[in-house]
Amino acid sequence: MKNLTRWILSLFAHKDQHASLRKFKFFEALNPYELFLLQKLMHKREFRKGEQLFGEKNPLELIYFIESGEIEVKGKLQPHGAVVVGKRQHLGLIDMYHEQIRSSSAEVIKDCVLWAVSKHDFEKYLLQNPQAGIKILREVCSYLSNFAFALCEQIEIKA
Amino acid sequence: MKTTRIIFGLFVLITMVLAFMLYRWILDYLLFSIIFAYVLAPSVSWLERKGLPRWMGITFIYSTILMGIAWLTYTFIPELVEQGNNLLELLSSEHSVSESILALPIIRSLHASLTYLDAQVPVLSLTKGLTNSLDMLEDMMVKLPSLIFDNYQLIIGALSFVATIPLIGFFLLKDGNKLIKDFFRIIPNRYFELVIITVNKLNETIGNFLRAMVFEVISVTLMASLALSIVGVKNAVLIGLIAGIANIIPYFGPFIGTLVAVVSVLVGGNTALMPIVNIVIAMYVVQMIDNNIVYPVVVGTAIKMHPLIVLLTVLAGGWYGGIIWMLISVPLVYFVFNIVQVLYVNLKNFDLI
Repeated sequence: MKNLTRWILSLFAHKDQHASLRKFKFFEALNPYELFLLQKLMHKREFRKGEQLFGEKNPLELIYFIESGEIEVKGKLQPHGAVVVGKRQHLGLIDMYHEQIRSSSAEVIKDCVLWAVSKHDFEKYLLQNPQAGIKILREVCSYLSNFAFALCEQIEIKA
Repeated sequence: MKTTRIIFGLFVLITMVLAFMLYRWILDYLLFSIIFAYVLAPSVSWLERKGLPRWMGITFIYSTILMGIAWLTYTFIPELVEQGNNLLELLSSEHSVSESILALPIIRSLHASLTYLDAQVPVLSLTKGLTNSLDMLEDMMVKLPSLIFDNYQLIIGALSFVATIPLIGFFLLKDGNKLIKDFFRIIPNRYFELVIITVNKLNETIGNFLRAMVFEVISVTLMASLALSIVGVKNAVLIGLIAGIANIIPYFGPFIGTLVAVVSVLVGGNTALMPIVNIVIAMYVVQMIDNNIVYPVVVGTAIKMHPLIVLLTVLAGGWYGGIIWMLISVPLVYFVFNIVQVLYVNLKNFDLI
């Protein structure tokens, strides 16, 4: 009976069309309409193992959010020269606020599904939707703060 | 595998050529609809951000524009009918157009000078040349009403053209984003970022340019209407609108507006020198404000093309497709130049060339 009720209720429940985006930490505080507007700017792409996502010193335009798969990132910003990023992680966000070119290169090591958003569109979205912008930037600040503390810890350990 | 790819590539190519052949008749429609959609897109997006569905936002903007057109028609149609009657009266009156023009002090003194020159060097026959030109102009003016009736099919075609653009524009505004995303879907991963950069840059350049152009047309229309009203020209708003639209053609557009205003005064039967001088001064002031304040501030990244290239482009556009193409040829050449420039820079940055 309980299962039947749940099934009937599920028929009337509004399907969350942006569930895959909401799983990213940066976007979890956005309301459905803000997510709808954001998703209009995003492109879902599939990459095969061995494909290069971008090369070092390439112009930076796209920020990637990884829905599934794994990517190896090599470059000066990575603590050990290289790092593997995977599900629910992102690429390009730090470079976005630093330079117009990529500081690392990235290669797919396990088939990937990514959400790509143009830096230009993303910045425009943040400016045109201030409420959503604050929610996202708060998460970006938190991420950058954690990143900085992690780097400090590594430097302390090495010292 | 390679053979299959080549066959598929050929199939796509043939399909594209066939599609182009089928749709080439409506390329004009598509081009103008894209321009129309570009200009309105920011307002629709703004309404969408405020929570209004796109279709509702477009309907709201269309209704507002329609109401504006209805108001303009209601206000100016009676005056235009009167002006048309004046023109018909002038054409059927004893004083022909050429006589009216010859009565102008400037033309009169020019005529006198030419007569004097002819007396000195009879081979020149300059006076005859001037009289012939005026007769040709008169012939053209007299034939104008019959030309309109003879070419009613063209006029109906033009009206259907004007009516179709908002319809195509509606779908472009509503689903344009989806269409662009579908286009991006077929781009291979290797070129995806390059294509995004190129499309974004072009989008920005073209969008800003078109919106700035529309703003400039509106501001020149308003300023010219006001200036011409002050100097007492009839139908100042309509002439201001023509001046505003003609202003799209760099360097040469402003003269067209002034010319239309002067011809309008002549058609009204006024042959005194002062009203014409007033019009020239009024339009000069409008151009001064436009060139020194509106254009640098609004258009910002103005078209930096050599006047000779502009002249040649306008002439080529005129030869190809008449007045409409004269208006759009310069922006079109500017866009193509931009596409090549952006592609070249980015292909180099991505080490593809």
